[in-house]
Amino acid sequence: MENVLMQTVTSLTDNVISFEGVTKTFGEQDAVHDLSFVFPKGKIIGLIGPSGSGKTTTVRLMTGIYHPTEGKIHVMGSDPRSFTLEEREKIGYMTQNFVLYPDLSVKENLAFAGAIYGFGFGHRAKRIKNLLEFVELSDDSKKLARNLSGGMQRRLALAAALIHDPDLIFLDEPTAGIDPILRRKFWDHFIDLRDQGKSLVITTQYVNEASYCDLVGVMAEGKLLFLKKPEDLMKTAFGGDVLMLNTEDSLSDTLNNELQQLPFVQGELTFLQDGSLRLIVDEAATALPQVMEWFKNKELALQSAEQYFPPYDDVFVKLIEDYRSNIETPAENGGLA
Amino acid sequence: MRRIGSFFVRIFSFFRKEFVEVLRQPKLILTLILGPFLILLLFGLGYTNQRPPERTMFVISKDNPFAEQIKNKAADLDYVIKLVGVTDDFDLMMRNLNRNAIDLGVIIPDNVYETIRSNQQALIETYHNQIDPAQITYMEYMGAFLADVINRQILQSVAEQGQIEAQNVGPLVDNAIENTRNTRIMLEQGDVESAQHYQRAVRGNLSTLQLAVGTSASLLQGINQEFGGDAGSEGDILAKLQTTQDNTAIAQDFQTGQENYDQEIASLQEEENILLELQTDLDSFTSIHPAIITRPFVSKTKSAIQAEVSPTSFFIPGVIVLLLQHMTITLSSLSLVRERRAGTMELFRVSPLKPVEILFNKYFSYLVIGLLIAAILALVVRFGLNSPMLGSWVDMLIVVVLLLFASLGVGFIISFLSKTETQAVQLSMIALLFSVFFSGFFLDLRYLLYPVRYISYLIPATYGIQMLQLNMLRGLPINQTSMFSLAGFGLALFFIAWLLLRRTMADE
Repeated sequence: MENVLMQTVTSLTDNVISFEGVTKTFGEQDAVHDLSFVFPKGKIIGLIGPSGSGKTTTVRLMTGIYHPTEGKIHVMGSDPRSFTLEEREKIGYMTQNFVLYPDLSVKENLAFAGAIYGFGFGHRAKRIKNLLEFVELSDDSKKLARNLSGGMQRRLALAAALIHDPDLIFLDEPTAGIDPILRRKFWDHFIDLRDQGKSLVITTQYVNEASYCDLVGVMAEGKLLFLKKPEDLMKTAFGGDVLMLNTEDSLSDTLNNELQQLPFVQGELTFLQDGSLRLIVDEAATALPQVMEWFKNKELALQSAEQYFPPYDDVFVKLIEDYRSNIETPAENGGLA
Repeated sequence: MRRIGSFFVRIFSFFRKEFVEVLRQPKLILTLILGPFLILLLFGLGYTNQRPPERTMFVISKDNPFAEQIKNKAADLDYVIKLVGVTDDFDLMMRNLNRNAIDLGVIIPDNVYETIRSNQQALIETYHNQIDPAQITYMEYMGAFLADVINRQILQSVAEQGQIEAQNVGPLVDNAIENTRNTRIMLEQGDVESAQHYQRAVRGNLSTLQLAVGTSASLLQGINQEFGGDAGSEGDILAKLQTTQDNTAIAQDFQTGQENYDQEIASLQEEENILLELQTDLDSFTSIHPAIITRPFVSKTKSAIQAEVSPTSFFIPGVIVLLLQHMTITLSSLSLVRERRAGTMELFRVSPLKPVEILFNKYFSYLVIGLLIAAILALVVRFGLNSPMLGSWVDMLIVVVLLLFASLGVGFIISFLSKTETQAVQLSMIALLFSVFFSGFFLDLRYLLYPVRYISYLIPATYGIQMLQLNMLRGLPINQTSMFSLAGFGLALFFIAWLLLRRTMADE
């Protein structure tokens, strides 16, 4: 992961997407700036970032809708500008906004989407039935798209993007406006698709959904700040794994100092308002027994000690705040700008 | 093989999508098709093409000898003028004209005979209150027409007078014939003295005839010469009279003691025959109605076209063409604008659809939709409005296909020029306005000067109207030049639309 760009150079076949110094400018404004990364094949790659961070532009560059102002892009080994028809047939794309036909019914929209990819009536009928069941629109298949709620329109758009069973799927905020239960179902399906060997690039503003991804790209102000596994993002945000300790008695300054000096402890100790103690360590799995041993040796009563997984919202906010405060730079934390 | 299958799947799907979308916009269909068609129907039911008589007031002085004749004649002209009144007050007539109580004021001049005798034409002035140039032209024509009617009226009076005179000389001719016959009989009996008596009587008869026949003989002779009659026969009364007077058997006294008078008797027989011809000529002249003498020709115009073309029927091909063009332009211009604004174009750009395929599919879809509407329109006008259809339905189909093809090109180009649906509709309306003025729908293209007329040939409807009128109303085959021009125009527009779509889809 640390040198994803090098993998692009050495092994294009294992990567589905690669960017080399890609910048896209609209007028005087850089929508994305100097993006370099590779996305491995058969993974779910999540792109998260605040609104206007360049997620949609990046997806559009990958699909060939936008052409880069500078840099090189390879998707499935080809420049998106010169995709062949066969390569295009392998791509599924769901836009951020609802872009289907409001005067057509749910089923008619899906039939049209399937027909674009050359699926005849017989072939697409079963596919449409399955997809309607998946997005839970079977009972609404005759409804006109304009009469659907926002969430239902997103579900219809997702079904349309998957109608031709694509290998490389770009989903721009597919779960926006979807209730949590169905959202979970969607992610289960995405994971199924991944397991079938398909590659998915998914943008989302639900940061917690990052946990479903194999790799998460954090974007801000047109730059890719990090591209890491979800758990690595937490380490990046907090400087290591987080342990949460509850003691019966408060620790003296001497003990605090001693605890902080342990070799696996990173940075300052944090005492939270509820009296608990937050400890940043290299690896929670190895550090936790040693911490418990240290408390035991010091004859201090430890009510509970566990690894703490902060919400991804907190991780994301921390990362963005740190970036904006210029505390961290991509070069220092291993991210790829 | 799979590619070919996909091609047809896409075509059918595009058609289905566009068709369903159009069907689910009833207001659009109402606005584009039913609305204009109802207007046409209303126009057809209400338009008579018969101009109402012009409300006319004559201004003529009370002592003008024409006053009574004008009143009588105005009654005969009730198909063009409605006599509102006759007055000697010019100001009254002008007041009526200014408050639109009358359409036409006609001033009959005084002293007509004096003016004519002084070798000048008498001037009839007409006043109107029109502002429409076409109406002004009609009023000028009406003035000339009324002057012509009055001129004919005078000529007819002269002819009637001539006929009365001709009837009066009839007994004189009878006397001349009788005396000539008696002269011949006396000579045959050898009674030279009595023959001389009758000879003198014939001379007297001929001199009186020469004076009496005057006007009518000149009039009849003039008619003969003007219209190519035989001047040596029945029309040449004066010449015949002169011949009878110059006859030696009449002009020279008989000599007594001649061995025989065979030559004189033969001359007298000839004289008698000429006088009989003269009698026949005068009888013929008096039997001709004075109106025929003054208006020997009347015209009757017949159409070489098999069907009777009413004003509504004449406009039907143009209306069909304009409706189809407008509908096609509007639908196609809205179609791509909607795709662009809704974002579906973004999906197309990621899909395996090529720009030419998208355009072809759209063309095909709207062509089929247009043909369906054209079929309905054609059936309604043929069997609902009883419009003539003298030509071939196949030719009509070719014209409609080419018209729709070219109109789609205009529509798609409009869609690339428009950022919003409102702009697309506005530009489509401008195209319609252009077509109404420059396609020959209302105005004959011959009235347009070059280079303005070139604009007409940039409008599909121009070709469509020409070809459909020829087909429906004249029953003639398609004009090859128009057909190939429209097809070429359509192909050029398709090419431009393809380039624009390609550019739109290529990059942002």
